[in-house]
Amino acid sequence: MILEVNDLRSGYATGDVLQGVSLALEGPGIVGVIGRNGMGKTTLMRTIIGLLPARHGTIRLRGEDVTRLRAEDRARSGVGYVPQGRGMFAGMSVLDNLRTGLFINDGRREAQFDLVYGYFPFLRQRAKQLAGTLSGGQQEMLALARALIGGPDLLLLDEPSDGVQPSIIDEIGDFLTNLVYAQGVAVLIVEQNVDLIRRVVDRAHVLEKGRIVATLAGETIRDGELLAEHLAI
Amino acid sequence: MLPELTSILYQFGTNAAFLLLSALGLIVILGMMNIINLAHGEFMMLGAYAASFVVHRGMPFPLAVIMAFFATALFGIVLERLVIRRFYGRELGALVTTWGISLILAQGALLLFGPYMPPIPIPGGAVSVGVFSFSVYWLILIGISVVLVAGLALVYRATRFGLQARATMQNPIIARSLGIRTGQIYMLTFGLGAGLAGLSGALLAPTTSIAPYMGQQFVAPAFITVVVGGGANVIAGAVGSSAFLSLIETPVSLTLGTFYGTMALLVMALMVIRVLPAGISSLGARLRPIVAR
Ligand SMILES: Nc1ncnc2c1ncn2[C@@H]1O[C@H](COP(=O)(O)OP(=O)(O)OP(=O)(O)O)[C@@H](O)[C@H]1O
Ligand SMILES: [Mg+2]
Repeated sequence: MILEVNDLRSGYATGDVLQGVSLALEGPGIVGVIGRNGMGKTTLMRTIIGLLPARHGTIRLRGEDVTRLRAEDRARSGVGYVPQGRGMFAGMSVLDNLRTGLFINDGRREAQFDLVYGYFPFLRQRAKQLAGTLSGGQQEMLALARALIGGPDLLLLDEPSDGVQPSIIDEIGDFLTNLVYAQGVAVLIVEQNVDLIRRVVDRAHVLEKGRIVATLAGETIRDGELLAEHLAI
Repeated sequence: MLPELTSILYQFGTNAAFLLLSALGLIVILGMMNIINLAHGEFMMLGAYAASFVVHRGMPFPLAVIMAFFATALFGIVLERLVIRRFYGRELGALVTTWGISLILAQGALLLFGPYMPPIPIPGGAVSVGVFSFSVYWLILIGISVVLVAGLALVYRATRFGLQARATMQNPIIARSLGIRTGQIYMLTFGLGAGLAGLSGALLAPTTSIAPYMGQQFVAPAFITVVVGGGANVIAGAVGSSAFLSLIETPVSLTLGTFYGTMALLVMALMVIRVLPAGISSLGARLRPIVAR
């Protein structure tokens, strides 16, 4: 069991957003969290990485209870997080941005520069360029590479398709499926893009008003109309 | 002609070195943590006190300077852990707190050590070129400021700490989510800033009288240098602004006297802030698109 979330509640000063969410990632694979705007998807991701405190419930990484651990220490135990909007260090170079991912896993693994340059060759060519000057799609790929370079067991991706052109969304989809197959990483991905969800996820939990109201898997996940229904307003 | 030129260069160098040494610790803390440290002058005083204390117990001056760095750095770290860290993200709170700390330090020094510490004689003699003579110690201080700035740039460009500190400065939340222990980075940054202030205080101690309120004379030039330098690239900004300000101050001081030199400094600072609100270092960011075109 890589990630186990049990009856999680968290939110802001205005009240709880998550109303008791439970989910689990048993091993390598891609699990989706879908839902309309404002349903609590980002809140869930921020609570799992530890940027928001859990008000109730538990979060376990590889069996270990990390609910009270700080975000930096959770990351160091092998979690790569790509926030919504990418979280670039815009004034730092591409290479420096990559380097900031090296503390994930607390340096227990070799820096995987060759791996990420293999997936995204432009990162090597643009190593000296400021990250803020990359296009949206390139920034997304840099954020993915940054989360991957330290060798995490778990990747948390918050809407990687947001603000990215369709051809690059396809590229990201290929990257994710390949990554799981080749590296044995577990991925929890928040998405609203129907095509990307259909392409990559094994199953998807539908989040509505802070609760998981349905789980789609197998045939239902390939059903574009059903998916669109869960995402439509 | 050559002696005159050397003399002007020397004046320029000493003025710039004075501004830079006064400002370094302040810049590190402001640029990296966004805290206006009103106890900066008192940190410099602490460095001077520490140096004077050990020099008069037989420690060689260069060692005393290094010791002053570590002593004030340690003091800064303890202060950060006990007090400063409670005020992150609350700039006004931090401002009032460091002001309070400055009062306590100056009063504390007065109570503990009296109104004066034994002075430190200026090391090194003088060299003369033509009719002019130059203090060897000030020449050394000019060299040390260059080395300090280069060293600081190296630390921030090329070390693991520097990478983590720059990331923390740009976005502490993202930095944390990537496993960077921002609490430690803030602690070390505050320690480094305090240590640099102490180091500068010890270095400048032989050039002034060592007293509880000696910090005041450094604070105004330090803040002017920092504000004129701006925040786009704090280290480059400080170098640019101390060079620029002394370029103005030096000829005015030489022709009209130091009082008018200081006035010129203030007037120039006001004009720069008027024209470039984000300081001299924002020039780089402004010029880049133009050059690229
Ligand atoms: N910092 C905050 N303070 C208070 N309320 C917030 C804050 N951030 C989000 N919220 C509220 O919490 C709820 C869930 O927000 P969240 O960002 O988790 O939604 P989301 O599912 O990620 O939406 P989107 O698809 O737009 O990214 C929303 O009602 C939002 O207005
Ligand atoms: Mg969101």
